[in-house]
Amino acid sequence: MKPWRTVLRLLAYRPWLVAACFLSWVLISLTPTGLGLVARSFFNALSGSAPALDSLWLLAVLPVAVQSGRLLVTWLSVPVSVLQRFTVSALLTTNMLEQILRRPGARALPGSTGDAISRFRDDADAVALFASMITVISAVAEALSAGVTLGLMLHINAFVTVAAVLPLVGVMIVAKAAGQRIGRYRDRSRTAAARVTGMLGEIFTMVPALKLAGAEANVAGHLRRLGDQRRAHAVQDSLFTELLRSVYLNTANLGTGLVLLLAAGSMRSGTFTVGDFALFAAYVGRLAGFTGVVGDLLASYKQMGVSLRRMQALLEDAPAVALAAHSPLYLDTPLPERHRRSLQPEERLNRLEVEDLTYEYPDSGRGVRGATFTLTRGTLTVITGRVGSGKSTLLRALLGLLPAQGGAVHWNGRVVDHPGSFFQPPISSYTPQVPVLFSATLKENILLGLPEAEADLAGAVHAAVLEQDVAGLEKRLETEVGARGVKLSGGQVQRTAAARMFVREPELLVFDDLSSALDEETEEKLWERLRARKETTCLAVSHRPAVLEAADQILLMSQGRVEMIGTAPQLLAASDEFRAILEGDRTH
Amino acid sequence: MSIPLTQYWRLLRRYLRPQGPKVLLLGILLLTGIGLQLYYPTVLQRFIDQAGAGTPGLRLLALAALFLGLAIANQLLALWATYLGQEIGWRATNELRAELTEHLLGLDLSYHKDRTAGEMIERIDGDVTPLANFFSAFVVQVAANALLLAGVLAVLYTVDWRAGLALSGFAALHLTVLLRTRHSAMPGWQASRQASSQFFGYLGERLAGLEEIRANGAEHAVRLGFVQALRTRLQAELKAGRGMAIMLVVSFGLLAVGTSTAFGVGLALVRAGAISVGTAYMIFFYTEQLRRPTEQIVQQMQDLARAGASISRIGDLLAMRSTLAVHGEGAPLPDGPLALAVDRLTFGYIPGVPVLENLSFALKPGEVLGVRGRTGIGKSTLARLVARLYDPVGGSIRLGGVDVRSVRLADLRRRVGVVTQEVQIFRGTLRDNLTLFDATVADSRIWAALDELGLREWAASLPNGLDTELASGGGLSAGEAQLLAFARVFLKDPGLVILDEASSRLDPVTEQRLEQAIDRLLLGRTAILIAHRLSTLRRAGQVLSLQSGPEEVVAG
Repeated sequence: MKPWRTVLRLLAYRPWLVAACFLSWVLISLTPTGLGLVARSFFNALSGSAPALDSLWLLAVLPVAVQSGRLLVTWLSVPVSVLQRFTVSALLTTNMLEQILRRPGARALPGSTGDAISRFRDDADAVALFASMITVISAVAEALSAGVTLGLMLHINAFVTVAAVLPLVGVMIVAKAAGQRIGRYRDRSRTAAARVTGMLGEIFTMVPALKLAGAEANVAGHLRRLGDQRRAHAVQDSLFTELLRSVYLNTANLGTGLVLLLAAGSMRSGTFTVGDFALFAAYVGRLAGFTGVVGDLLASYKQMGVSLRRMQALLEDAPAVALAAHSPLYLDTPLPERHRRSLQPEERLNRLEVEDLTYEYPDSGRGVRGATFTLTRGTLTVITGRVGSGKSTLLRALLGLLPAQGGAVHWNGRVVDHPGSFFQPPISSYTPQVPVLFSATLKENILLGLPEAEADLAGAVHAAVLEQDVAGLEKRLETEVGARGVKLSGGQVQRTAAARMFVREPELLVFDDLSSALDEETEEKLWERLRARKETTCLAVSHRPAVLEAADQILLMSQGRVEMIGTAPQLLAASDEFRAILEGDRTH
Repeated sequence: MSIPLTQYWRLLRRYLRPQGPKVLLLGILLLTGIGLQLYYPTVLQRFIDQAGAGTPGLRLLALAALFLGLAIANQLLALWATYLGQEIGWRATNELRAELTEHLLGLDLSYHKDRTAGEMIERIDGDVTPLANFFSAFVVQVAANALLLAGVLAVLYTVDWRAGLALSGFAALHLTVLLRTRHSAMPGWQASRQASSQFFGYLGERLAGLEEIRANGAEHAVRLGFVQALRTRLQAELKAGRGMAIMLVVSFGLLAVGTSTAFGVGLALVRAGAISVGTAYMIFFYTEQLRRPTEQIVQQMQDLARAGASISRIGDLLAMRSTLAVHGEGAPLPDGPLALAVDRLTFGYIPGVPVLENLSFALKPGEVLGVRGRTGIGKSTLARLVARLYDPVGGSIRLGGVDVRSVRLADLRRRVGVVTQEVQIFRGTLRDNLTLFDATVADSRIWAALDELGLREWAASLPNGLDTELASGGGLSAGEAQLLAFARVFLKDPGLVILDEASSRLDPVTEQRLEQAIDRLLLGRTAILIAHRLSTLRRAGQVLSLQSGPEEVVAG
């Protein structure tokens, strides 16, 4: 989609706000034109080329009256213009978030979080700035008042007008030719800026590690280098824009100079008055200012286009219209209650079949190839294998957190078309290997929006063996866990994530290596309580002997393939690899 | 809300001093520009009066050409000044970003616990970026515009003292009002920055946890929080808008008063026969010329308000001190393996709620201690205390006979190597990921460390070897990331090694690969092995069992 189409869609979201902004700007931008007329009458009267008026003093105070009107309009228009611009940026960010929430969870962002934030912040701002009174709306209004101004000039002296306006045409051609470059420079400078924010984001997610390594100064040094690259690109970007703007501004003076040259003869003969000169000098400046506005508009259009592309890139394969879709913002109306998905009788898990499931990471080519297995209600299926054998990838591809490239998943014999939205509570729930908590209370982290009245919070906390920890916390479940849950220990984070899963009471529980941060005693208790819950069906990654022995079936993975399926005794007899895994942990 | 000017001044001096020559050149350029702007209205005045007096056309043409030449020269100067200003602004803010980052990294973990990475990006990049203009343009622009103002008035006095007086009165009124309203935009800007940093903090955290959000069906909760953050942001933006509107209205109002003053003065003086019509036009033109400095000053005032909000927030950040009570004076740590003595150590994150209480034990150089206990009991806390991420509430920790509080932090962290179970891989080259940007580490040492871990083949197979860019998160498995973390410690050559659940994410087969490496890492080094699995602890000469009650150290 062409950038201007997107802008039009964005403007059409709240047409009345746009109309109010436009009207205000027309009034504001016509004021100098009015003042030019006042100045003309004043100097004509003063120099005696018009009958000396007693109303000269009236003319002298007229500017105050004209400006007062402008002030009133300005005062009234500011909140409208703020609201209009905010609405556009809110619409863009809402649409982006909405698209990202629909993407496979483990591959939702093409880059780092910091990089995504830079697109959410700077690129959305750039587009909103363009589609606002500050840029495109005022530019159109300026065009209207420039037309009025030009008309007045033509009326006074057509010949001088044409000569004065001629350089402006040249400027337009320059601006058009420079468009490509503007886009290129902006692109580079935005990329360099995103590297800096991306790096900052990463730095502040690994503070303890950096401190332990004593790398504070080195990190700052790296940031300086990235900053230097950013400076070079940013200066190039804005200098080029400045150069163009300077060319536009210069034309005002060029125009005044030409008026001087051409008017020299007429002024001597008295056909071009001092008042006319004052008006032309002021209006040529206005028109050059308008050329500047057009030039700026073309430049910021290119730059805005870059930002649109960057936002689109964040959304990868989402349709181009999605970015400017007219979605409700709920800025003054409450968000509608979510219609909670309830389990249909035919959705009750009997049998889950996975057939030839394949996902390979595009950069490394590793992943899962042709995974096939079946699990049934009330059983425990454990996936095991060495590092890099594809265990986590298999879980993610199954749940639609990674877009499977081949194969199929059947739930009770029916094909699952959209695993990403199907494998959610009440169907399934999942804890990744490194769970993420949010800066909120422990309770909010467990519930994640689930209404408290509908949830067995205490039960979930108990099942996750978290009750003692909660009792030890100052504010119990109301304790703030800090950014990424740093106020809790690694094991507490993992069990909070488990409680998050239990409270949803799904048909299928999926764990990716729950045990890595838990001691044996706590983990055993957790599995014990899990088994005590009625009819739980689990799919888990683990290499703990106790879990492997309790498993109804084990998938042994190696180099992205399911090497063998069986119970612990079967695999023990048949696979050296499995023996190494099981006994490796025992013999130390 | 007022911002201490000394804070501005300190920032300016600190970050502009290294760029002295550039700043000086910029000042000269701007002064020259002012000279030109003061000069060319007199060309217009001569033109009008001579045209009225019937001067030959050639003289008039010469005046017109002179005007054009001056205008172009002025623009070239302005461009050069812009370039310099940008350079200065970016260099100063880049330095400020780097120093802020380093300063914040120096704060202890209790600060970072409450902050999201998105919020930190906002505070470092979002708050510093508006300062670019403050460094490059603000001082020079305000000074230049003030000079231009003074220059215009001086010229007016030479034309007619009454014109000078009237417009001086106007200028004085102008400045007074502007200075009075200067702060009206501040609270709004501050609220807006605050709301925006919270908004992006919220967003950043959710974007980092998309996997859980999707798999646990929490999209709606995310939307709810998002809408709430949006609303807060809108209210703050409206407040900021109102503040800005006051400044706009004031500046336009003053402009109108100025034009009327010029008309009035011109009219009275022409009537009295004191000046020509050309001079009256020149007075008008100069007054109009006040318009640009006025608009520039208002623009700068807005930036100032913005910079002011940022500066006070940055000032707050810089004023924060690490709560680590005493800064090490630099008592030297002995070479080789370090002895460790923990004496009646007590520590808690919240006052009155101790995590560790009265813990004592001692390790001779080269000894290995195993630490076990259930999760949340304080095993990792012990590691953090030894590496001095926190200071104990009571008791002491001595390393090589020296209290850790008297060792220089950089020294301490160089001699204590820690591997935790959470390893971050960031976007950057493999080399940077291993050395953490320490450019002094030779490649041969990096390869040697990779050899120890059996990673040479893997690293060599990467498209650009050590210079291969790893993606954020690495595209590596948790196990591979863990191996890289071991390599980081190998490169440091520490005297005390702490492995905090360092192999818990590894499957037993990969873990065995590490065994040899761990053996070599522990060779000739004191070590603490933290594990909840007994098998990991087999190397330990003694095992410390942490419980909620009294601790016991058992010889293994």
